[in-house]
Amino acid sequence: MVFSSHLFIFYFLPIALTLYYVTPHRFRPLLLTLLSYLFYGWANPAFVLLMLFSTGVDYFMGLRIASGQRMAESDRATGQRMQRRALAISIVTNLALLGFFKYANFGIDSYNDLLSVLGWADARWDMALRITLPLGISFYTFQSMSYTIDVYQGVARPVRNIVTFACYVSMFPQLVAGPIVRFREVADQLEQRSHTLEKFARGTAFFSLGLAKKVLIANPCGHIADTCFDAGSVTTMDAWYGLAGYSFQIYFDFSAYSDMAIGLGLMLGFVFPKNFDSPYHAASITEFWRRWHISLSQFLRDYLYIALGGNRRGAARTYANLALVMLIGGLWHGASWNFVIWGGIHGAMLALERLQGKANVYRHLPHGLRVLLTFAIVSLAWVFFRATTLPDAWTYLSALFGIDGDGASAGLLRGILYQPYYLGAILLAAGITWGAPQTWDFTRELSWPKALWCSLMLVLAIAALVTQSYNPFIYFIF
Amino acid sequence: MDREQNHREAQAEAEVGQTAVRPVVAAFMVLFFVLVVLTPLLWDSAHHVAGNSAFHVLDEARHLPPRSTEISRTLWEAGLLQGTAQLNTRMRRRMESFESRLQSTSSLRIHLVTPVNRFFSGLLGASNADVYPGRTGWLFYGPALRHVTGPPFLRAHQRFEGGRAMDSVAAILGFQRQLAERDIILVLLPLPGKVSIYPEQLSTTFDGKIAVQNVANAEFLRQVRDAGVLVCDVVPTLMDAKERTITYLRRDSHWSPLGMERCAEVLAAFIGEHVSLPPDNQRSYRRGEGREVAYRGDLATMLYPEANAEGEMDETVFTHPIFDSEGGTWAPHEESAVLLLGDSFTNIYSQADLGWGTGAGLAEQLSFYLQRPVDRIAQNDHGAFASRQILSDTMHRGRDRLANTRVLVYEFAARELSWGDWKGDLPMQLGSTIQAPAALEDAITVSGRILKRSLPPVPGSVPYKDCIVSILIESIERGSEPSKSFLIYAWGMRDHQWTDVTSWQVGERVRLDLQRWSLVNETLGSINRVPLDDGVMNAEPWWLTTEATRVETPLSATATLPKTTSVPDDIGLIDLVQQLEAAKQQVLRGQDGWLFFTPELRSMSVGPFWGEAAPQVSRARNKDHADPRVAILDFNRQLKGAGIELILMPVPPKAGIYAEKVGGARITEELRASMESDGALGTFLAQLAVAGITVIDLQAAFEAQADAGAEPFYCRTDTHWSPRACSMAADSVAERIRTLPWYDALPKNTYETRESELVLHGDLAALIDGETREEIISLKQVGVAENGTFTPLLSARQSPVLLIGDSHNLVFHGGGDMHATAAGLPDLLAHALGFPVDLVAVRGSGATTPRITLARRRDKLAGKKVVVWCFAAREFTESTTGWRVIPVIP
Repeated sequence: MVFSSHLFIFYFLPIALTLYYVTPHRFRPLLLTLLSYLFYGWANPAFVLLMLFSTGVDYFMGLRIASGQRMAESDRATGQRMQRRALAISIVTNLALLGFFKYANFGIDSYNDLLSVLGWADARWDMALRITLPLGISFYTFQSMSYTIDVYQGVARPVRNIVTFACYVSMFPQLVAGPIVRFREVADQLEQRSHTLEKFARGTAFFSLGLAKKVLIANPCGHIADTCFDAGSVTTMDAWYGLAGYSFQIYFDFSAYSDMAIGLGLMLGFVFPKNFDSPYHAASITEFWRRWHISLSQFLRDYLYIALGGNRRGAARTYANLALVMLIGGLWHGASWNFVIWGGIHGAMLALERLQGKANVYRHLPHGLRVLLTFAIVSLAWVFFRATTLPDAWTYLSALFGIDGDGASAGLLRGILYQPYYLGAILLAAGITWGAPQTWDFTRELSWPKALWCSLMLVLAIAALVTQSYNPFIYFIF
Repeated sequence: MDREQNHREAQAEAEVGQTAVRPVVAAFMVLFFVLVVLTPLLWDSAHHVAGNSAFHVLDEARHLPPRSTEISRTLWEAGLLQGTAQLNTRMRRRMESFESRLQSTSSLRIHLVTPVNRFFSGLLGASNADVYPGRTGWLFYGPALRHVTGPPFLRAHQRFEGGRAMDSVAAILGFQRQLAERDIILVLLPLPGKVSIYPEQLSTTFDGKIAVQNVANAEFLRQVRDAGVLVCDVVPTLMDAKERTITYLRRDSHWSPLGMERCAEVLAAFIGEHVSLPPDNQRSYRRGEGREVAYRGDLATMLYPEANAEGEMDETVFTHPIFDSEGGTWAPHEESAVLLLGDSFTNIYSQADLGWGTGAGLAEQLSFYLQRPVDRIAQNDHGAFASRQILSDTMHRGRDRLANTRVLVYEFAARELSWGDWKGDLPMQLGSTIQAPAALEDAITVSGRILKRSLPPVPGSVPYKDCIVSILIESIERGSEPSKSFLIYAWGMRDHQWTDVTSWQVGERVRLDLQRWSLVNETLGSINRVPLDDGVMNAEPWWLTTEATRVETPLSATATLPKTTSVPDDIGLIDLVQQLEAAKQQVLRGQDGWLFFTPELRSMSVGPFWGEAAPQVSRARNKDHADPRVAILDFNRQLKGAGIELILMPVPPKAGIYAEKVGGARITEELRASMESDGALGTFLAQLAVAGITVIDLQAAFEAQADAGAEPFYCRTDTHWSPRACSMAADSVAERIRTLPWYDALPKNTYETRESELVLHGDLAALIDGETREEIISLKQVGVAENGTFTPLLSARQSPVLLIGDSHNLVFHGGGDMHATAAGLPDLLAHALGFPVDLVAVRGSGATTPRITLARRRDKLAGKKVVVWCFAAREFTESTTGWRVIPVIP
């Protein structure tokens, strides 16, 4: 189910909220879990079984680790062995699920491509069935896995009630596209949280502004990007226009989802952490990753970068770790070489910036120029993120630099794209990105004008929504 | 890490958990939000309760999860793993269908889409996924545009994409090879989209001198020509013609009549140049004078579906219908040496449902330029495979559609090269004749379980308003009779609305009234059909007669009736009806070759049928809708409020007017008694008249002119009235309308009439096994005569007189199963009034459905002065849909 769908906004949400508030407190986790499974199973009922399996394994492994901790007090070696085994089972299970469902197709395709290149086409592995990627698996496996790791590291308490744990893993506001909320961040809230009119009102403000971001900005920017990226030939100017469209689309799309998730959380009494902090304000790639998809960056840092040794094993190892983490981060987004290259670019930039240290090239530039340069690098890297195939990415990059493109049909794009609606959307996106306050700041104090503005945005977004066809969030596919 | 974690939590709590907002502002925000998200649910529920919407979310949501019997049966039959997978797939499909229906039938969407698109598309230039606004009001079809701007469609690595076979060249060459084996020459006619010929209407970059096509187009033409396929490339023709005339419709996805006619001329010359056809001097064709047609294009309808200002989006064109040497309208000839396969470009001026008139399409024009007959297989949309698939299926069933073909013209929209499913090599081998499960029956009733079904597209996402879906059911075993599979076609979308069929679920048990598809293929075969996703299309298909006609029209009744003997003198009407119904006998054979319809006899047997008696005697499935009086008075109230007069004209039962032909002394007496003024029908109509409704009493008119020897008021072998009764009804209505004050001020036309005779094999006779009786009736056709061409009148949406009701308004008017054209009630009424009338009539029940259609127009009957409601009197009791109150003028 998609937040910006008719079904969710007008049926699921009002029914869910009504049920939630008429249900006694002690049954609310169970209700939320059931609603979340319905929300998740709407895409494919069979995926529910997968999430149940993942949840079950991590729940029991969490208990096992806790038992190991107790045992370690009397028999340290056995207790630690039990803990390590339980943690390994949890990690291996989750990564195996992720690996199979997300990377099996990619692995087989890459294997076959390699054999073709080597001239051993007869040895190709022809698999008739393609594996369907379960929605949000990258998010909930990470989230679920973080629980056992945190319990193992002793920074989270094991949960005894399986309903509470299932509610944490499956909670529909942030289930399919984050933010990746770690168990310790919401453990207390799962047990007890406040429900106030102010909280609910702010939730509606978050949700309304998020929906407006998605429908009124991200979708038209996406139209510009789709038209340019899917075109047979595109002029240099249109290629840059399309790239700007995509840069704003992905930011507003993901930011909108996060706002709506946080808003829904507030309506249900939860407070989720920030996932964006004006990433296009960043003056370097290092800063960009402190501001973009914060929950993923921190997950990768805490559970991968630090586990690999972080910056404690010398400069060379630090650079290698940075590059490796970003490569894996790229691959986390999608199973294709495009994402690996995208991650590689970011990893290389992070390593380069660290290598330069205080001699960093950015330091000599005015702040505005640094921001612009960072935006340009990030945007160019988005080409690999957006293009369907690697050759498509190279073709688009060629068009960006005037090497290719500009066929007869390219002229038609101007008639489609240089309309007030699309130009307005791009300008509005740029204006909001660099000139408007974040949703968090905007909604901190809700006055009458702000309340009316949020209400107007909600109505406008819904009006625009009814004329649009299916418009899923980009991060739904990751 | 832990410290930082705590910091993040604290920060989040501080930033989001604490909000400075006054309670009144917070309360406003919450209330406003809740109100907005609840509005559609409440609105749709209110519409449903008011009877204006068949879909209701709570009703349908109950059918989403599989029932326990379905689960156990599936797991038993397919095993645990496969059974679970099957159940999961079914659930997914149900949920997709549910969500699509939810969105497409949403009142919010229906009411908002037009004004919102006016703002975003009309003012700001936004495109939705399927329609792109151009300059000066031009609209462009998204898939056609994206075909031109998209990547080369011959990319080798995309042989299959999204389950579609993309290799158009392989499919075409395979087709050519199979045709060549029978010495048939293939001529390819790929038709460019509007944007290829008129790019300057989208982008100022172009000066209109060059055509723009997909970058692979030249390579595609080279590959197929090198393989020996003849290609008639009409792009130069259309570019040349646009210097002198508009070759595409501005707000439709198709070409203009003149563009099409020019291409037909070039195509005919191309065939003449490349193919040697055997001489055919049997027939000749001539072109009629230009016929003005004003209609709103399909793209305008997609973008502004609720634009209701009269003629606001209309575009006027002149079509040139083609007639044979005897003045008859053009018809395809299967024995022709030329076969045209096509899509909606072929049908646009041939198929009435498309709105641009009939008799003037591509096949007709090609016939004219070749001066020889042409055969045609065309289905709207899916030009990459649909017409080839129909040909393949026809051949497989043992009908050699290629027996006389020497040249086959394959027309398809060029966009199919990018987006079409070319299906590879569809076999064209002649199969042995497949016997239909009920070999001799034209109409059957089947009880069974739905195995598969297809869904129509979401309304507004496609440029057509009607769509047929496919359903596969398995009949239930009875005794020694094994179960059989039936492929059924049914309406999935009508006038941009999904039908109730889309709510049917796989696994559900249904009882369906079907008729052989071949009987309706001529009229329905060209309408877009969504096939099932596998190869079961080779089965002999059946057509699902509408739910309302299940009982009400004899075509759907159980076939193979015993040849009845005469009715005994001592049997009463109620007993007779009970016996007929117990024997599932829909037709009673009366005296002197007269046939009577059992539901009509039942209707006359029940006595009072309104008020408290209604639920007891009505066939309405929902007894809340049993009372006709409530619905009629409500409709009259609505019309009166808008200054419109309602004229009610129920057609008296045949068995009442010709009671002596039924046979049986007692029954004759009872039937006559029921037709007395104090009988149920007479009393009811008198009460309506007292309530202020104008009622035209046709019974009195018939009795006044019941001179022996003259033509009867009803067809002997049909459920409908005769042309004579039609004429009398038209005169009665016209007489009333002429007294109204506005009538004299209206401009009048004089229409031509011509007399003809018709050999009629009635629908009642068709139900009796072995019945071959025919009757000859005289017709008076009404139309416009120009240069020796007789053109029937078209329904006029802007007319002040609106005629609504059941098939009594269509008989002798609608052609096909309605027997004739230009000689029905609408035609005769237009002749009597001097201007054409607006017509909303259905083949099923005239009780509720026509008013739903009127409500969907959403024009509040603007411009109407009189509504004439004409339907069979038996509808008062026999309508299974009942008499719902419909807010036509809310």
